[in-house]
Parts: sequence; C-alpha cells; structure tokens
Amino acid sequence: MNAREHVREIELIRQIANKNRKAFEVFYYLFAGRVAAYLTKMLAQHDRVEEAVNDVMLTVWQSAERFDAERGKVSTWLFGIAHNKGLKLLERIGRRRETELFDGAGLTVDEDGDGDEDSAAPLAAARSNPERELIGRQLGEALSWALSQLSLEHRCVIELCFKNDCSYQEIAEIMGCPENTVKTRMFHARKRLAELLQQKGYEPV
Amino acid sequence: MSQQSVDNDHAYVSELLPWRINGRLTAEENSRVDAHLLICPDCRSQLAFFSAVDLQARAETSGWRPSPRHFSALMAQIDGAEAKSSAPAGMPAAPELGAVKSRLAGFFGSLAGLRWVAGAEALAIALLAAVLLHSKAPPSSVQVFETLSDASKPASNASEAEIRLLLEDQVTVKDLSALLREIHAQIRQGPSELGFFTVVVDKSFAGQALARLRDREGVKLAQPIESR
Repeated sequence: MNAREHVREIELIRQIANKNRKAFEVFYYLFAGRVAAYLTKMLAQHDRVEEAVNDVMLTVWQSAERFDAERGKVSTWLFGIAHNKGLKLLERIGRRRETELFDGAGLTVDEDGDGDEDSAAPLAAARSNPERELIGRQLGEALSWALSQLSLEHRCVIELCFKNDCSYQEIAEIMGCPENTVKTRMFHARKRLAELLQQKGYEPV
Repeated sequence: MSQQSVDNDHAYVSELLPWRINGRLTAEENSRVDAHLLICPDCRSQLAFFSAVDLQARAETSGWRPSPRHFSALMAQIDGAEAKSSAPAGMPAAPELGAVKSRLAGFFGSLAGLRWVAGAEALAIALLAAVLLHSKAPPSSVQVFETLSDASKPASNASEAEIRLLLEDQVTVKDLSALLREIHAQIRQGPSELGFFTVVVDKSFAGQALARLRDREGVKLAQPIESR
C-alpha cells in the first residue's frame, strides 16, 4: 500500500469516528470482502461469516476514535478486531480446533535439505510447464484440501501472509503474539502442509 | 563465509521466505534472503512450496460478497445498538424491555408506552408515521405472501418500504406469521443479534402497517427505515 492510500484510509477512519455514514459505507466496501475471506478461513465455515463481518464492522463504527495511526495501518487494526471476533465466535460455537492437536504430532517430513532440487518437483512443474496443467489442477485441489486441514493458528498466519500481504510484524500484532511465534507457526504450517500433501502422493518439501 | 555463518543464514532466511513472496520484507532482509537463495537449494525448494501456497491461498474465495443489502442490514444493526445505548439515563436498554413491559403491562400496552420505550427516537418516528399516513388506502397490488421468508423476493425497490421490527420474546412464529399477513409484509432480514427484523411492505401501505404494528401487543418497536 502506498502512502496516499494509507492517508486516505486514516481519513476514512477519522470520518467514521465522526459518525459519517457515507465514509463508513466506503470503508465497508473496501474491507468487508477481505474480512469475510479471512473469517471464512478462520471459522472454516460459511454460514456465520455475515454475522461475524457485521460484528467486526459494528466495532469499527463504535470504536473508530480509538484507532491510533501511529501504531500501524488501518488494515492491521481491522484484522486485529476480526481475529478477536473470530476467536470469540469460535468459542461460542464450540468449533475451535486446538493447535496442539497438530503441532509436533507425526511430522515426519524430511527437513534436512539434501540438496535435491527435484524435491518440489510437482510444485515447480505445475507452475512452469503448460503440458502439466492437469498435475497443476490436481496439486491445487490437494493444496486446497491441505490448507483446510490446518489448525486455526496455522490457517490464520497463512491467510494473513498470502491473502492479505501482512508482514510478520503485522501478523504478530493482529494475532496478539510475538513475532517469533508467527515465524514458528509458519514453519509448522509448512511442515504440516508438506505432510498432508505427502498423504496425497506429493513429495515432501 | 564459514559453515556456521551459512547455517545461521539458513535458519534466518528460511523463516523469512513467506514474506519474501508477499513482498513485505525490508530491503536489507530481501538482500540477505536473495543472497542465501543463490547458494541454498533447500531454501529454493521451500520458496517454490510457499509460492504454490501463495497462489492457492489467493485463488480461494470466501463465497461471500458485500452488497447494499448486507450494508443495510449492518446499518439496521447499528441503529438498533445506538437506539439501545441512547435510551435516557435510568431507562432500561432495549433487550431488557420485555421484562419491564411485563412488570408494567398496563402502561406498556399503550402506544404512549411504546414511545416511552423508544426514548428519543419517538418524535422522529411519529413525524415519519404522520407523513406516511397521508396514504391511507391499502394498495390493490399488495402481494400476498405465503411464507415468512421468500428467497425469490427481489431486492428493495422504490415501491417498497422497510420497517424495523422488534418483538417481545413470547411472540411465536405463528403470531408473527399472522401479523405479517395482516399488514401484507415480508421478512427481508433478521432476526439480528439484537432481535431486530427488517420487514418490507408496499410503500403506500407503510403508514397503516406501522400504525397497526404499534398498536399490537408483543411489538416492542416498529420504526421506518429510511431508504438510502
């Protein structure tokens, strides 16, 4: 995001703090889709997403004056709200999966880096060779399935990093954890994905 | 470069690879990562893996899209929350109105009581209702609704008016169904987390619908929603 967009978003928040409904509508259309995508991944279901998005946006409306531009970007603040709302909703509906269930459990993928550049062959091939589009589609399906199997914390770091282009510092702020924890979660997410893909016949990374 | 230095760099770089892909590393971090990638096949392999994850994550959609209807529902929720929080000091908040109403049934059974409940919004509601009441005849083209909610109903248009409706807890689905039939209304949204329904009626009948709703027991609040 460039500096102009950053300033524009801060101005939107300032107007929302002054209860400007038009500004809020603009903000809603700028961010509701991204918040919905994040909450869909976080909740691992679709039917509570609108409720969760509304809950997030209601909080934005009610507490916009508390946004501190010196502490970070509007999107970081917003996704921090979304993350907390998602956690509360998960607790309420009793669907939260424990990270510990996955972390360190049965992770047998070879991590020693033997120098074999073909170890990611299906992935690389799928992206570079048009003749292997079928492999690419199959890999996409396998990867989609594997992503859906990740624990809550792992899904969140993947979603925030790749879908929302958050830095690890921003993810730490959104998830309320140290930066090193973000990196560790990403490390374990990769290991878990590799293990899941291996179950589908893809070579470990 | 010593082996220890290479190992340190490997641990450092492998942690940063996801953010090398999303472009959120500093220039210094990027330089260090790129230099290491040239000499480390394992990190290149991981980079390829994260690149595939990146493509897949971006390709997946939630299936939910914001729309004017969603935004209207949100604003109705916000208005409800604000009506609750703007009740005069010492007055009960909206969700507790049912209990108060049962204690003071006689008083709350009247239209004046409902206005008291609505607090500061009462005057605005009365004025809007007065304007709407100029159109007294029920519309001849009012649709007869068979169900409480009909997914095939088209989106809001100029001939429709929306009413925000809050009911007592003891109102049954059967009561609600009868009430909606009586005023030729249909549920468009709700109940929200705070219990609000958005119902839609023919615009020319909105005044009478509002008046009938406000006279009915079991109706906590009936309030026109301004069209955007």
